[in-house]
Amino acid sequence: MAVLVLGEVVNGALALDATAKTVTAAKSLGDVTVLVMGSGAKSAGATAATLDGVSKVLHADDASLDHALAENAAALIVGLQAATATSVPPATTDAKHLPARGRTSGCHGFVRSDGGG
Amino acid sequence: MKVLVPVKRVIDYNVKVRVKADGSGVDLANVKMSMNPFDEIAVEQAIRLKEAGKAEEVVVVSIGVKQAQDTLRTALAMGADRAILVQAADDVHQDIEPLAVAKILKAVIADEAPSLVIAGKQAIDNDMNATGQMLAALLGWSQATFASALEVEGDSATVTREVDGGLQTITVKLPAIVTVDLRLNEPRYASLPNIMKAKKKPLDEKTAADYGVDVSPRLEIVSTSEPETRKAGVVVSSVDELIEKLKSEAGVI
Repeated sequence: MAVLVLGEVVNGALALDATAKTVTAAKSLGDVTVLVMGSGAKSAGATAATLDGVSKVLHADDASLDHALAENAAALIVGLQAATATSVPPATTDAKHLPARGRTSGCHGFVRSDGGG
Repeated sequence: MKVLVPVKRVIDYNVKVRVKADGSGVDLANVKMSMNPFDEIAVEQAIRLKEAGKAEEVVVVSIGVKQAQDTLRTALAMGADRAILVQAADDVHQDIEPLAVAKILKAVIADEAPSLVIAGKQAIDNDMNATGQMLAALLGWSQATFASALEVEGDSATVTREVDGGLQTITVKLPAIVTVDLRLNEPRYASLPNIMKAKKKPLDEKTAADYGVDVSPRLEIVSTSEPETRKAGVVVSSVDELIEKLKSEAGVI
């Protein structure tokens, strides 16, 4: 069963601590795929690939996904959810801003790493 | 411009929370209930927009048990114009989940057609931090969460958001959902004359069934428990003993 973890990207770099903790929490649910978004997200994706337990990294490289604005990013996540059973975002402000929106549009299994919806 | 503010009746923030003996949740019997503090900030901001001439009407909505009337009266006493109570539960222990709340709010918004929804960022009882975002998704409106400053100009709103890395300022098109953080403003106290006046302000009563929304829970509470209490420390008699304990027990040196 595939699990989608939202990689936290801050100014083009991966927020390693938040993402690594979320990956560790998500490992028990299945194969972990990490999604990183924003222009220049490739290097953040390369960092994510080095984390223990990550089986696949997706990077969406587009300026419309910068600054973690929920409106565009949520649409992207909804598109990806067909291929994954559960999404696990970290409990950061960006990740709280976004996935509840994605989940509502996609009506999908969803666990935030602090336990909220 | 009409502003809609959803408010939630929650356990008062000063109350010492007790877990029910069977672990099924928090004991709410004979406990003081109040308006969610973040929602109070949202109500205050809506009233300030009205006082600044930016908004004509402030409508407050609460979804929950019948007693949420008291919460709505508090908002009316602060200065809101009108209230809508959507009764969705009879038992105070039944929490209406964010998705159901968002669906009901969507239906209310279809009737009321506000240009701006100001909500608290999260309720202090279940800390979900989801309703505003879900509502924005259902409506396809823009969203600005964790607001610490809000300016409305014409058909857009400029919102400063408190994010992990600092502050982010964004401009959103109206209609929009704004969820407010702690530092946006300091809510006013309702004066006694205003509390009396609030009793005469209109309060519509509806039920979840009126809007055709199923509020049965999708989540199952497995258990509820109090956090572990901190264990007592030990007093060491000498530096040597401290170093010894750090080496052998704590394993830090």
